[in-house]
Amino acid sequence: MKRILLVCGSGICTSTAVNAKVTKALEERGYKGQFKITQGKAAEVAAQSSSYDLCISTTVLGGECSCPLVIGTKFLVGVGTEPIVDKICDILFKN
Amino acid sequence: MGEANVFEGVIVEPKIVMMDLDASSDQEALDKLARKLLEAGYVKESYVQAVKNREKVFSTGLAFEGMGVALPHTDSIHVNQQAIAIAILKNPVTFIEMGTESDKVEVKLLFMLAIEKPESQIDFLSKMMDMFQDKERLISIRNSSTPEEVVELFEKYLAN
Repeated sequence: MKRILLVCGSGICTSTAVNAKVTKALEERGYKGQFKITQGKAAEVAAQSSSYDLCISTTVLGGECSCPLVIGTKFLVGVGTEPIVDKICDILFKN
Repeated sequence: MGEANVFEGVIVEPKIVMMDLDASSDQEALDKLARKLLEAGYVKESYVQAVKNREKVFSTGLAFEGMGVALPHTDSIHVNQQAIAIAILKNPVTFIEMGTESDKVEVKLLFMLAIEKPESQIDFLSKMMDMFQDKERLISIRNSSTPEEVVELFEKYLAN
């Protein structure tokens, strides 16, 4: 099970909307049941990221992120998401 | 009309819609729209400053295909009743793009979210994003002539 930490500024709206989009994209690629997404706040990344396989953020992170990081804003806009999904799949499932 | 339109516990109604909002900066636009939510009683006094401060740290501009949109919001402790205030900006206002330090987006529409229980709003929020991704729908909202029309379109677009 791959663990994804999904963060925005306050862990409210943005990460919730991106959660649905990322879940759908990964399931469409055949990874259903192989990942777990946890939503959080950007401020928690420094303390929590070491226990995750990937962090997807829709905001600029102030602190250190100790796992691979992908910016997920494209999921909200809906344009240019394929390269981001490729990158996420590479990080999580291709090694 | 006049009656609150509720989507899964989230109010969108004409009295929290501003037409031709005149603002020369993102902070001024946020202040004016947040005060509409405050006047309606949907947010606490502290929401106004909180939503402005948050925008400085976590910007919410998004460059959709149709036009630039900003989705300002802040922590749920400042919210009394879940609602979305909408503003059509008289002239585009520069916001910083979400997820960037300094990329600029010329914003024409503001959707200010007062959300309390994000976990119960996944369906609603992702439907709203789908709506924004449809160029024609954003343009129709932008071209509305009354708050009632904005609410009617918003409601219609969310329903399908």
